[in-house]
Amino acid sequence: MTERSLTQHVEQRMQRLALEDGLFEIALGLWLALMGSAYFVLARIDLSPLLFIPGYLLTIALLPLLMGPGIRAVREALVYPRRGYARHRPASAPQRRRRALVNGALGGVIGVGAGLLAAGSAGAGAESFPWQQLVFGLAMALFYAAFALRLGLYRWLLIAGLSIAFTLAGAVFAADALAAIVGALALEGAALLIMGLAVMMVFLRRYPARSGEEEAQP
Amino acid sequence: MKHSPVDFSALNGLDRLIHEPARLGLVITLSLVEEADFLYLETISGLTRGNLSSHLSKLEEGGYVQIEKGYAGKKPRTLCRLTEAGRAALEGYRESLRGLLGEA
Repeated sequence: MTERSLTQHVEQRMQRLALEDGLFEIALGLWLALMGSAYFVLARIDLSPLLFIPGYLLTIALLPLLMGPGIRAVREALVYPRRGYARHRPASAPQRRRRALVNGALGGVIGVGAGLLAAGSAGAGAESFPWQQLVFGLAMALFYAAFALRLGLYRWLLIAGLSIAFTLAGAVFAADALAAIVGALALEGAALLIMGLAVMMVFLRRYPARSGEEEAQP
Repeated sequence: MKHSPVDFSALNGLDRLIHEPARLGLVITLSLVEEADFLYLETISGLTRGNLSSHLSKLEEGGYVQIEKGYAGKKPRTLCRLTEAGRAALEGYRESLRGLLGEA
């Protein structure tokens, strides 16, 4: 192994270690469930698509900011005493550009999907609604699969499969567009939440809490 | 025909403080973070506490790592950071290896 590939190996190990606690899945699961709730509330207010889409995108962007303090508190209480603490270096310019591209793509998929569904549920093209929903579900599944393959987190392939299954079920069984989208987001969120909690249980068993005296060695 | 031995003296230029595998791993890890505590380095390196402590002390003596004892809430936390000298040493080591192995 060359020194360069050792750097990549360490970097990959650090990424995997950061995802071993299940908090990412728990946070994303909560986010999706809250997105479903926000969709339900905003749709009930009966805004026009022109107000609905920016309102929904704003809610999607604000939710992680509101969840941040809770996640940090869990990390401090459960993760750092077991796995240790590391503060990562600020991302380089190319990394920031790559991250912005991924976030933009995800936000775009959700925004366009929500817009199509809003238009579908408003009656303009209601007949094509199941197809719009399936495209949305497929795009989400592709995002999960890409994430799984990039980080070697193959459990996310299961979420990709579930995303397709939930949107298919919504397109076939849901009474209307609102029930389908809220149901799909809630089920995806619940699946991620359950997976995250299971991963966290494994993490808590694998890494027992250490006392501070043990840690402060050199 | 008698062949003259290969001159390995170029290898003497390698930084021995970093050349040791466990310390190289620790320096690379610290180069990827702003700071990390003792427990994190133990988890990621798989070294025993005694070994880790010994390697970190050597890196600190060489001026490559800064170690700061503090508290996280009421619990003691030992934070480690790579110094500028440590970062430069890693870059120098990388260049030396490239030169010695003939890699671009």
